[in-house]
Amino acid sequence: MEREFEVEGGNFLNAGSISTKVKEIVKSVGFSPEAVRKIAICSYEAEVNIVLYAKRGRMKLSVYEDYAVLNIKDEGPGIEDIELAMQEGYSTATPEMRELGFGAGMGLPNIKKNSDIFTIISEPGKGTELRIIIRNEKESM
Amino acid sequence: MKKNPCEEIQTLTIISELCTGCMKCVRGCPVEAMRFKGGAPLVKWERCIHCGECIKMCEAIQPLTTSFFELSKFKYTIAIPSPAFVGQFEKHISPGHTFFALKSMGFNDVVNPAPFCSAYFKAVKYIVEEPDTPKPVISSMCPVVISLIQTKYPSLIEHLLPIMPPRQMSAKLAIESLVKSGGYKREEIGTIYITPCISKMIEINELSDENYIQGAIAIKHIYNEVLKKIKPSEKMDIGKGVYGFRQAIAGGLYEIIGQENLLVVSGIKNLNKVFDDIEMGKVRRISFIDAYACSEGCIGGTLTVDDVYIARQKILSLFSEKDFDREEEKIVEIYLNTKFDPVKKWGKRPKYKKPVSTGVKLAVMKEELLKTLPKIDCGLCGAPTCEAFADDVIEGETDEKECIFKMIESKEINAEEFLLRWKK
Repeated sequence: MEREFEVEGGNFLNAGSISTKVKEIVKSVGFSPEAVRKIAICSYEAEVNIVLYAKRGRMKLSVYEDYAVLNIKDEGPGIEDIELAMQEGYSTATPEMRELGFGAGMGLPNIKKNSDIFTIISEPGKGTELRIIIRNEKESM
Repeated sequence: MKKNPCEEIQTLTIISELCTGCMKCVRGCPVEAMRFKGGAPLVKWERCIHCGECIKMCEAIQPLTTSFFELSKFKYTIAIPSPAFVGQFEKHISPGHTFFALKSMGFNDVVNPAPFCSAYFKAVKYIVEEPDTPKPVISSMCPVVISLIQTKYPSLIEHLLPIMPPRQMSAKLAIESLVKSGGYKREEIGTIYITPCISKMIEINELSDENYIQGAIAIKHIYNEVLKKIKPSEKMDIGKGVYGFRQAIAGGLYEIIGQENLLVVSGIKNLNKVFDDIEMGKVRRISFIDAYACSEGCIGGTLTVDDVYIARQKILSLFSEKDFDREEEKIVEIYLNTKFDPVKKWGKRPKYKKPVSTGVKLAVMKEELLKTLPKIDCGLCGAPTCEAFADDVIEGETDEKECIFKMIESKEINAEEFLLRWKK
């Protein structure tokens, strides 16, 4: 099953609305609570990144029996130094963004921490693409 | 319809003769657990979180609490008033007066819940300060909060506070001391909670650990009787520890935890919002959530008498300084040394586990079906929304032809026939 969503850049009013939908989908099809939590966190962080930095972006959720894939593509400024961006606490957020409680430099590191496979492709001026895979662990009953 | 284990834990009953079919309960249920079928409301128990919102809306829906007459089966009865109880009376009537009145109604003893409540929050502080507990820790005092998490937010189960609620702890200690010194057998002692809501009834049957409360009587069901027994000159000595009555108010005991890392949330809509945020990792730097299903806390319970804000004011003005009971430190220790599993039994039944492939199939079917529904939530099918109706169809509990728009489309029924069926 695949679902694709548009994320609007710069709209803080709706930040989190797409990830809530993504979370509800994986919850309703029967993913384990642990997998739901990971998918929720990854999709939320990715959504907030689009809202903060990009004009717009798209988030695609693909659901399989044992795992889910999130593909996130944005029309943002891209990342100059990915290695640096992956460090906890590193952030290019403006003081205004920080004022709103965003931009603690934990977004990408948090996605990496909560995903099983994480790839990031980014080029300055062209945007950023994330691919996040999260396993649905079988629960021991 | 299939029998399911959740049906064993009914907390309310519907008097169908009083039902006018207005559907207020169906539309007002915060978890869409009500349907209108065959001329009367029907509860989908596997969805019900026992919040009692429907009881507030309609007199045809009555709480299934313990009746006063059932107490005769015990040799020794102990009343455990909820902290909200003392907020229901005029200001000149102190907690000691109301406890005396309870005693003269026939209870052998009355336990003051207040020191158990303040000690509870002191124990919470210890748990919250442990670095290994998943944050934010969510209060497990309100059974509806637990039900909501078990049904809608299972990933937050590990956040639930593993401390026995004050009502259970006070009952446990009262029973233990009576068995030890009073020569009573455990089964001869009736510990009865004077409850502001129906949800305590789930605890009696569904606690995973041992349960210490044998019955719950609604505050509003004994209110008149208590009033009659109050005597200005007669007061039970309840000692110190009046401060703990503030537990009846959401956030009432915030001073014990400290304002900075505490989030006070009440009302189911607000709980949903906050739990969604926690799942997405949005709630940061908060270590404890004081959570209540009823708005403003237990004083907002469906089975209380007085206005929630008046009750709040009365409880807040019970005293001017924090007068902790000296016994309290001992109770804190007992809380911390008593293992407690907040998850109710029914949450442990694996009824809702299904393979993802089935889940996906059903989700796709539901989407396809939703496309064909009018999405105006008219309610004529008996479900609160078109989406809830689609769920019912997918779950095999109703037929899609029950939708009036589909009936008209297929020309299977005319208006007269429909009206007849509706009234049936």
